[in-house]
Amino acid sequence: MRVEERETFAGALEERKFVDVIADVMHRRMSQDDRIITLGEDIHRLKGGTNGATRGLADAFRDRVLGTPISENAFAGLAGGIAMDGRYVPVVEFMYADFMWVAADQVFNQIAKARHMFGGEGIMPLVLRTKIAMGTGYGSQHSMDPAGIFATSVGWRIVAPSTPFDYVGLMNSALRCQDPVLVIEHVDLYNSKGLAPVDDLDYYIPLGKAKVVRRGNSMTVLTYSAMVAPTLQAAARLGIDAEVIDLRSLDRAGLDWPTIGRSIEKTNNVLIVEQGSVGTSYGTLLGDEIQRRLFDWLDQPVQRVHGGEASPSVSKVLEAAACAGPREIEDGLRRMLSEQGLPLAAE
Amino acid sequence: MPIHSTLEPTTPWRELRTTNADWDQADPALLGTMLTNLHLIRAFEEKVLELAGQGLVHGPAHSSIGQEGGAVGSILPLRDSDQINGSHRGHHQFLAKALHCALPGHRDPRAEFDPGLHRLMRKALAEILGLAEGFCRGRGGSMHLRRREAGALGTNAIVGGGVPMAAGAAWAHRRAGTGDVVVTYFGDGAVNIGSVLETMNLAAAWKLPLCFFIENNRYAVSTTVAEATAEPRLSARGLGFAIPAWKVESGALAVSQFPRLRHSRRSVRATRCAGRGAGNLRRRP
Repeated sequence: MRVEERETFAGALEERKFVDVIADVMHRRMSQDDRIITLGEDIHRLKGGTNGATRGLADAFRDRVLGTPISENAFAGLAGGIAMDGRYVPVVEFMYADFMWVAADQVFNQIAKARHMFGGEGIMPLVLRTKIAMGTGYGSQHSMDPAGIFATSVGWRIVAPSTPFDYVGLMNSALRCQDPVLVIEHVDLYNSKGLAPVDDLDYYIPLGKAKVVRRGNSMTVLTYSAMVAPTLQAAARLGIDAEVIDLRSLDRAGLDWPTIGRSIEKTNNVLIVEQGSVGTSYGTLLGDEIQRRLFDWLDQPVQRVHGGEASPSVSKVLEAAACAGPREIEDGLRRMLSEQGLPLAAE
Repeated sequence: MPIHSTLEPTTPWRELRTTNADWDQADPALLGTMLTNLHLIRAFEEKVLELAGQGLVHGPAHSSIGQEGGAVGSILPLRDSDQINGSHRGHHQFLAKALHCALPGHRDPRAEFDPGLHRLMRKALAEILGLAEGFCRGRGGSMHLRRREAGALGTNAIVGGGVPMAAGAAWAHRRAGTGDVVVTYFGDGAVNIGSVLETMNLAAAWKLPLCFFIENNRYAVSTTVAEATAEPRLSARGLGFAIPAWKVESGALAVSQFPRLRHSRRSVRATRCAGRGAGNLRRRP
């Protein structure tokens, strides 16, 4: 296994659209390993599903790209059965993360628990891809961030890549993992561009490795997925000496405590930034875990940025009010300073 | 005036009953094997209840007493590499498959038991008691019995919850071209839940080698079939999904379904059967 990070990557890089890189790495893996199959609603039609993430796969691997009926519970469970069998590796797509509730029994009672429940000798090499669609106006039932709920489910691994480069490495690792892995995507990222490998799609980023994406001393900001870029922008805009960590792996077993701990021991202040509503939020778990592990190092309570006590709705203004965005991030960064008794950053 | 036409389901829906002539023609050695397995499972279940009565089973011990016939009969035609899974009430199917796999060939009810049989029964009982010696190291217990080597994929504590997973195993068999089939067992209480009905649709649409075996013991906890559905002929569930269906008395299933299932191994795609409990078997001649 060859582990790479973008900064030390020797291969050629170019600006690519995030969603195209998803299709490219899936194509590469499916061409290298005929055990891999993918299934989900309309992934075999349109231009590669509703967002283009499976573009070209049905043409290249006709009998391994399975368009399913609208039965998330059945096809998620079916994929679980395939994974447990061990001869094939299923990659399931849920068109929207909220559909996990429809499939909840198979996702949380079956797939998550099977390995432990049946004695620990079996495997469950299943990858579940899904997207966060906050900001698209798809309303209350299509706009959740699933990280917080999946993180409560022992057995699931969770990754949330924020760049095309990381997506390749994390997907490659997910496809080799014997546990079920949730890969969280985001519509804001799909059309974003970032540096991606030109022709090398075979490297790995191990599960359980966070990444410091901005060095700083005054506070540690922990974030993931589509909130990484606006957090970096807000810190730069406000001129705050914040250290920003892209968590990348989110499950309890995959949290990178050495990296998180080193940073908090240095800055003594921590802010968790996420987009989704407070009820299903991921930061609840993370904040609790930080105060258990690092309480003595904290100069103030763990602070958080998250969406409201609400479901996003189709109204653009109400949706914006329900989700955290650049303004809430800036507010959070300022609050971190004022709680330390420090002057607000120059504006 | 509108024209009314009667529509017919696209797949057959039949009730199957045996006659005395069928029993007369049945292979005595096969019947001996079935009788042995029935008694072994019954004795095992009586022991489980005895231990439960002594407070030695932590958690539930859903007994399959009275339902042994459908399990033994439906599993006999399966190969070792064919697979099953089941519900929270699944000791009998697990044992039938494990016995069939571990001790192939006919068993004379009068003969001494093989030491391997003792080991198998002990490990199964250990699992139900939550002991490390069990097949799942005591983590699964009564409701999560799994022995992959025997093709027993695991029983399940969520009603209908194992059915989609069985479809996944069936998909893998079809993809690998092994000709293996999967039988998924569940009770009358599971016929109204989404996991089962969604999987019937998916398995039929994708032509998976999967048999849905509804074990109708008439009660879902305390709620009767007639209370729970307007169509208590549960084998009718298959018709809406173009799945051929048989309604079978379990005694009949054990005898007549045997050659049928074996004969149709490759052609039966998503078959379902319905049995009614082994009590009927004893009323047969």
